[in-house]
Amino acid sequence: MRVTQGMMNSQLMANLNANNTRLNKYQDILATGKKLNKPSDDPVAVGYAMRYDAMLSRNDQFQRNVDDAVSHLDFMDTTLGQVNDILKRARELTVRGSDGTMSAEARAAIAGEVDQLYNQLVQTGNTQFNDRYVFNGQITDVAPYDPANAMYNETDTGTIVYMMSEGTSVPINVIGNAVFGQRVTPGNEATADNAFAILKTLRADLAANNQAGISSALSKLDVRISSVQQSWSDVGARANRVELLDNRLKDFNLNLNTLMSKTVDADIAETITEMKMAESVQRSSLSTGARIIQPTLTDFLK
Amino acid sequence: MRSTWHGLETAKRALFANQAALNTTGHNVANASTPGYSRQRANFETTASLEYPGLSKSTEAGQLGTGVVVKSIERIRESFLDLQYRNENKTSGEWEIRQDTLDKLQAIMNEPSDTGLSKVIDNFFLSWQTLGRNKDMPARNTVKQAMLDLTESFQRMDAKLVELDTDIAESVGDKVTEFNSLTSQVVDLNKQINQLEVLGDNANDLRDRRDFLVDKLSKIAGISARELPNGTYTVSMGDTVIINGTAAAQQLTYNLATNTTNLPVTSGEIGGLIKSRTEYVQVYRDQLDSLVNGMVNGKIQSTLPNNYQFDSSVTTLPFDVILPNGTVLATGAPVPAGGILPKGTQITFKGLNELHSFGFTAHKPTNQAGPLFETVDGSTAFNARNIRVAKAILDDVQNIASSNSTYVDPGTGDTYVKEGNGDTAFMIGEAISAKIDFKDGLPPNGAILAKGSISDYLRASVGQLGLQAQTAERQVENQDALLRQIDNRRMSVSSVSMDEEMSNMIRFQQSYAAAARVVSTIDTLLDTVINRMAAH
Repeated sequence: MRVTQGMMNSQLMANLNANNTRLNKYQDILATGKKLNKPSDDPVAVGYAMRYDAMLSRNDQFQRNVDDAVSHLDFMDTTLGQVNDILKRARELTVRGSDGTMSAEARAAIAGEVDQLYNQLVQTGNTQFNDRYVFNGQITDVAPYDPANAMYNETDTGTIVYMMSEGTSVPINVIGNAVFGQRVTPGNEATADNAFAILKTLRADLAANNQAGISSALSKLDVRISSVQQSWSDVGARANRVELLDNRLKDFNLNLNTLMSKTVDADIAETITEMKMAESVQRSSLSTGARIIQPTLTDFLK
Repeated sequence: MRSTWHGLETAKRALFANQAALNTTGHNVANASTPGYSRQRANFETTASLEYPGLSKSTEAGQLGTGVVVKSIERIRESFLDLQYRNENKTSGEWEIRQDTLDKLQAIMNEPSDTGLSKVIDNFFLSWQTLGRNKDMPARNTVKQAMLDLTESFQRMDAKLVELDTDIAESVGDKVTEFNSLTSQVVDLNKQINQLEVLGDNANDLRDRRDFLVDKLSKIAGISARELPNGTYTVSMGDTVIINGTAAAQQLTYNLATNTTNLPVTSGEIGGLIKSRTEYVQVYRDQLDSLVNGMVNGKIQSTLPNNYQFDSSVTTLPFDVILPNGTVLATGAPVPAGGILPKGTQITFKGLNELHSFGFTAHKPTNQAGPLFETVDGSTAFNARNIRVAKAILDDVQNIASSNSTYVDPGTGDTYVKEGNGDTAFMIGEAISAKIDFKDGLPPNGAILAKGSISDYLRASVGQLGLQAQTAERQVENQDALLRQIDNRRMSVSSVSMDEEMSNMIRFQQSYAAAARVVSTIDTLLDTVINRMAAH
């Protein structure tokens, strides 16, 4: 086949172009650290990369929800502990006050402390976390308990849920009614299973030196304390569940990041090796080209 | 009987012939780099020998040669290779354009990246998750901002697609003008070649130029050329004849609005540009519009994260539900006992707008929430151009609903929203992975996915683009290799080889020198006869 200078020239240009294109691609990969820079690089892998990316940001959001829930449940844990303490102290005072040898003056003094306990209990009932009342169900902008009529107040019963994972929502609040007792209908104060009613009645009985009334407070307090402890342990159980979810999210995050990296990131060592090879190919094509396109017969004719 | 001057004449003919050959060699060398040039060759032929048979024929030994003449100056070119080249050139032109368009589309889509549409959509839904936790003003403002980002991103992407479309349409106009200019030049050349060749010459350079122009034409639109007996070309595009001999060429026109040409063009750069508009740009615009409409209006299945209590005034279901135990209740069916939809119920809403209206605003007293998005032109179908954040939300972020539960305040008798409930916000936040109906009765039917989540839809769209771009890249590479191969064969036949021309040059030069020597020798012979053979 007849081979002319024009052909050799165009062949050289085509080969150099191919080599340069290859080098350019490796340069791109090394500069960005990613082997996927546009969809045409690997359409299927791009689909995966986008999915992992979306899942990672969702996971991140769930993680934040979980962190928020954990701090909320911790707070509830502490608060319920406080309620428990208050009622236990009330029980102690009841035991002391129901002692037959107590004088009226002594009982009046105890009544003063029970009064303080009552106020403390109401205040605890109106606790806020992040400017929201924790015991009033979903109506978090209104204080549930009025100090004077706390026993007649009813809290909202809505549960506040947070999304913690795909399709998983966990309640993070405690209903006031469950902790402090149901609303009291007027006329039933003496027998109602309501912490405020109990304390108020106890205080009245202590002030009035009513021994029988004082003793009856003991069993009422026991029932209420066990209810409180039930709510308290429920909070603990939920906190455990949330912790499990937390661990799962963190594991998932790690897995996703690994998968994402495998799909998108370039193996630097491999790319550099390939680039070095491409470089040497380019050098040899340049030097070969230079040698063969220059001489023609003209150089040798005198 | 031969003449005295016979030898002189023979030598003279040799001089002329070699000179002509040398001139042709010079022409070849001069045009070695001219694009489209085919090497020319002076064809030597012996002139008629003596003597002719006749009564006056002498008895000398015959036939005596009379020298050489350049019979023709021939252009070395294989027209079959030209045919092959033009055939592949039109495919090459078309795929180059397609790859260019797809590359531009990839740049517009900008995936995978941190600034692409998928990230903006992600942020939008995630802002709702934050609102579900913190139902306060900063969270609401973040949601409003995310909504603005989203609508603006849609508008921007559509604007870029429209820009690309306009660009392509303009390019078609340019190419059509070029096409018409080239065809008129070819017609001119046809006329000139016809005139010259009628007189018996080979119009070599003009033919080269004509072939070069036809090569260019073949890249712009898929044309094929055939030579007629009178030396002119007839150029046709498929079945349509564009140029017929020396008559004026048919003009090609392009209608921008309908994206059609008056004569059908199916390949080449013009074909590629036209197809780019319909098969690529328009399709991706439609897909974007379907995404927007599906998101705002399409049937979406959302799961209740918590129990939901219907107001006592509601007795029939306003939407389709699937209860956790699997029971399917259609719109209009009676509300389940107690007016409660349990946690885990799947509700089918008509898009995010209806899902949002499920909730209540943060005002005191509260109202049922309105839609999230509105159209700027009042139409019911949303697309990337007319989508806007609802004015009510822009004016007052309290109109963003987070809760889906209310209570009646015993003191004032007004209905207030239960602030601690973030269910609506969570439901909207979860909508990113909820299944949406993109095709069901929504215009236009450009959806790439009939039913799937928004993430699925975007992935499908980007995946399709990636595949198309990858295919185009490969096609361009293949065509390049093919064209190069054919061009190589063409060049092997027609291009000038310096070495060959140089050695020819030596050959003709030596022949010329030898012929000149013959002249000198004949001259001394004649000198002897004329000057030395004197009569005293």
